[in-house]
Amino acid sequence: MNPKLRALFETIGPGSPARYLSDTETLRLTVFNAASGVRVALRGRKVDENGESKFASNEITPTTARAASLGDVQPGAGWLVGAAAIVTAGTPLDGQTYAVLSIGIGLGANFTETEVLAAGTISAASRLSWPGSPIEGPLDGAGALRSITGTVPAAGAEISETVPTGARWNLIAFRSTLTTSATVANRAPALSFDDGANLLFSAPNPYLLAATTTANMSWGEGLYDAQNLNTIEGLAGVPANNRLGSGFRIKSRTINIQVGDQYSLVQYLVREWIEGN
Amino acid sequence: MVKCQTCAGTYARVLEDGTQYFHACPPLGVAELKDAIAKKSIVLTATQQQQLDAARAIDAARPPAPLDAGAVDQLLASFSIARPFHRDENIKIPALEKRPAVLVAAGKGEPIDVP
Repeated sequence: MNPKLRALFETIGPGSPARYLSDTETLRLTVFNAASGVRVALRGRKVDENGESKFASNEITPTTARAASLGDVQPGAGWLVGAAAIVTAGTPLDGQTYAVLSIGIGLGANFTETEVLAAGTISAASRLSWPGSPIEGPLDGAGALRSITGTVPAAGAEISETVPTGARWNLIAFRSTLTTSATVANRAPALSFDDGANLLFSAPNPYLLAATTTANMSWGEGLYDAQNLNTIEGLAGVPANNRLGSGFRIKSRTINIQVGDQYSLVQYLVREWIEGN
Repeated sequence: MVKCQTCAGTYARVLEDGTQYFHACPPLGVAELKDAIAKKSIVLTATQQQQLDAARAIDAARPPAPLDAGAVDQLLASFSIARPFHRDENIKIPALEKRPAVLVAAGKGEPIDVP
């Protein structure tokens, strides 16, 4: 073996997965994020042909819209011996920030990916590191628990909540209040899922609301239909382990809804993953 | 809080956990659908029109009880027809490195602030 290369291998250590980078190769960090105030650092260490250890880094503020944000560094020729993606600001939950460490040729829009080093969700407490971290998909983790306050619709209108672009939801619980007008009719609220156009599922709540009534309507994973007459709370179930993709909707569907009926206090709990589109 | 200029729904643009909220207008409700159909301001698909004709025939043959919804109301509650100028603040996923992202549908424009 070339004595220079032998010296390099001895510097790096036996069994190291060190990877030689040419001058034109780039270490890229791709981040998909939903949390606010997050900054992510890309840090890499290389050993150059003189056996010297050098650091390269970049730091990005990823968009909160779950779209890809990129950070590139070109460490220069040498052996890449370590790389990491580290949250340096913000407190994203597990499932809100997904990072990919990869190598490719070129920079920016001219980047062509050749290898993925590591991928997975990161948080203030968990880093992504190469070597060491596995290559995980964005849907592999536990997901982030989010309590969301939805839109209060205009009087007479139904609730409609859309799964954001780049997200996947598991609806755990949903609750809202319906106040009916003086118009005489029996309102029968249901909670439905659709794919943005086609109705997929509808769960009628057993509570029928007459005129001039206020009641809370709840739906939960795995619940049986029930109506608690003491607290004016109607309960119904939604499918366990349901999954709703981007653009899918959670909607109320109220048979006999009247123009003056008003939904309010729209609150729901979801487990959210990032799709990584 | 802000109010949508298309559907008059009210919402917070940033949630308590600091994440962005992406409002999307609900589809037309039953009362709005009835009004739009009467005014011919929307066009139903051939299948929807057939379903509506069938529901009307059912209600004509067996009028619903005073407190109950008829077949037409139940059918219209299952329709999902976007309201005119509907707003959807979700973004179209941009190709890498091509910014800025654009909204799925701008509707009647930016929502207005409400107390």
